[in-house]
Amino acid sequence: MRLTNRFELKRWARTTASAALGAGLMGLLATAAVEADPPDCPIAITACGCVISQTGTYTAANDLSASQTSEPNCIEIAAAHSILNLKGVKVLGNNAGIGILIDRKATSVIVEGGDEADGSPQAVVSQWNIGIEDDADGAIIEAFNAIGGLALLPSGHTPGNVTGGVLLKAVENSIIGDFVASYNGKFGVKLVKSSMVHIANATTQKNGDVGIRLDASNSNRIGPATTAGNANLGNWLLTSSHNLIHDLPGATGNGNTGILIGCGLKTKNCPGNERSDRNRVINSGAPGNAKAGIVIRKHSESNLVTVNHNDGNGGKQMDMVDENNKCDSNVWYNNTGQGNQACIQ
Amino acid sequence: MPAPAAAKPKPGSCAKTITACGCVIDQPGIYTAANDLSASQTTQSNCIEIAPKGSGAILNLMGVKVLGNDDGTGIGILIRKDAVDVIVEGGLESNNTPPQNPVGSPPESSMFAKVNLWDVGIEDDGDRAVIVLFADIGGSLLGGAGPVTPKGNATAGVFLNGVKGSFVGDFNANFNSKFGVIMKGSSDVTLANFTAASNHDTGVRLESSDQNSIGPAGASSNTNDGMLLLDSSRNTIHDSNGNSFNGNTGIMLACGSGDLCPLADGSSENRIVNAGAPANSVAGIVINLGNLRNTVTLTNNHDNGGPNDMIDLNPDCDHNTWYNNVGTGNQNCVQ
Repeated sequence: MRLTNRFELKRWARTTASAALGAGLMGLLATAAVEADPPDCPIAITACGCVISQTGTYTAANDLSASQTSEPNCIEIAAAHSILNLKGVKVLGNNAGIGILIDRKATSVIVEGGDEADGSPQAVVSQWNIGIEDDADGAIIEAFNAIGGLALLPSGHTPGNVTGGVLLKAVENSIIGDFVASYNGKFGVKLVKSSMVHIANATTQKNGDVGIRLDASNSNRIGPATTAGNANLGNWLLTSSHNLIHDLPGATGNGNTGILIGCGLKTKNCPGNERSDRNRVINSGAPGNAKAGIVIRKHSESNLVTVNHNDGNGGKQMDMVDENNKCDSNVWYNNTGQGNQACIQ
Repeated sequence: MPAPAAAKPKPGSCAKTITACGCVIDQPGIYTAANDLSASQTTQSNCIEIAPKGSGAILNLMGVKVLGNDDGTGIGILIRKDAVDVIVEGGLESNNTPPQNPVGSPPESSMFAKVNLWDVGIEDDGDRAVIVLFADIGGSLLGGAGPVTPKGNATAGVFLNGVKGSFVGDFNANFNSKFGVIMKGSSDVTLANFTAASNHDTGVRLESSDQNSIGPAGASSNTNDGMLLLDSSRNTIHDSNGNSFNGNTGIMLACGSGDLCPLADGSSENRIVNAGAPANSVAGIVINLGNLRNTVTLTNNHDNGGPNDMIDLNPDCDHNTWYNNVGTGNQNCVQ
């Protein structure tokens, strides 16, 4: 077990210490007790392994690396309303930990990869377990050249993050935009139990599983965005309802399906408790995927799919698939591509 | 004693194939326009209304023109209050190749509907409507570029009136006599992929409207402001770079009760991200006195006509955050 959140680590240490006392395992207690808090970050950050514990504006002064510290994460943000600008540097991990972690109580934080001025470089965050993790409400995360790997010409890419580019856990009202999250081991962006989040101006390509994944996350907005060439899915809404996908025409070239609403494709006859309802997919498109364009799985209802281009997917009549009898209460109208039922238009 | 005026007859139910203005959609189903529609075809005030009993209905205008009397009256398409989950589309997605991009160029397509010369082009009073694929909800330069300024709707192209969760996208709302888009008392609305330009007051105006999302969008060359938020909070403006060449300000956050905000009805906790308001006559982005806890970041606001591109009229910006923007600010806290 590797604990990457500082507060989780302390909790684990306390729990382990209690158990150790009860069992007389003083050696284990000693091991747990030596875990120290990372030092406070200076205003100009020169090395990984610090925590922003006071509100202010912080900038990176040079490239940052996991090799500079024994802490699991590069920079943690524990102070609400803080600003961190990475000024176009590289933040490189050792295939564990988190590049930038926004702690639960650090609300309304801004994390930016570079300056707005024309031609300013934007940061790269890669080779961590998770590139950027937001556990707090109201964050703004913007302007990253890569939260993952970078494509190399004429072929290949630099390494991404082991699991994912951006992870949002139980947050409300965060914005993540103007970034590329590609070549990560599993996902480009994942929301877990999060709501009212904006994902805008995002590119998530060639991730090991899915471009953008929502788990138990409701009332979020995604778009404009591109989710292409991911190994399995472009977008997946799992037990997630009331979300809006708009201006996402490039859910294309994925290994299985462009946009999946409902339970996973490995599950036959989705159980009713894994439904994704009342989502809207508008002015988007899922063409040219290996199997299917847009799929609504069984028991997911009252979704709307309109004004989408979904031609040329691999499966027969698989550009648009609704597994519910006569689409149930799902509405498919004014899309291009072939559907598996007459109710799909 | 003069005889009382005869009551105007109620509009009849629309046929599934609509050939004339002056009907109401009062059952769910798919309705399409068969030909251009005109106010001259009816004595009713509005062209097509969608009633609560028509909740869930789909209306596709199939690229036709829906034209009013050009006398400042009536509504082209009215979604009545309690008519929920209605879809109104201006054409076929199969004609949307390449996909229409009003924010880019060219901004217009002849394959999608035009709604013009009404008081309001499209009014949505019902929750969770989807309104998409319109070439013009207002005047048009398409095929008519010349010395005469195109004429639009008298008050607004699109009016969202007390709604929740509606989506309006893929459209141009230009050359209207007041507003491209106006929202009153509305929340959780998304305005996306649109242009609100050359309107004779403001491109996009929010009044007492919270938690809405605007972008991608552009509001340029309007007589007064590009985007104006009055007594409207927790909105997000993102990916909206073209708020330029407006007669006053690109984006303004203001109180509903006036410049000094006597009723403390400010526009607060809004976020303007990855956007821009350059080259307006007076200023790029302005936060008036009493509008607090707003965040403005990653915006490009150079070359505005006044002394500053970005203006915060609150002492030391109060609790507004300005960070990583381009342009000059009126205080050190505006960065």
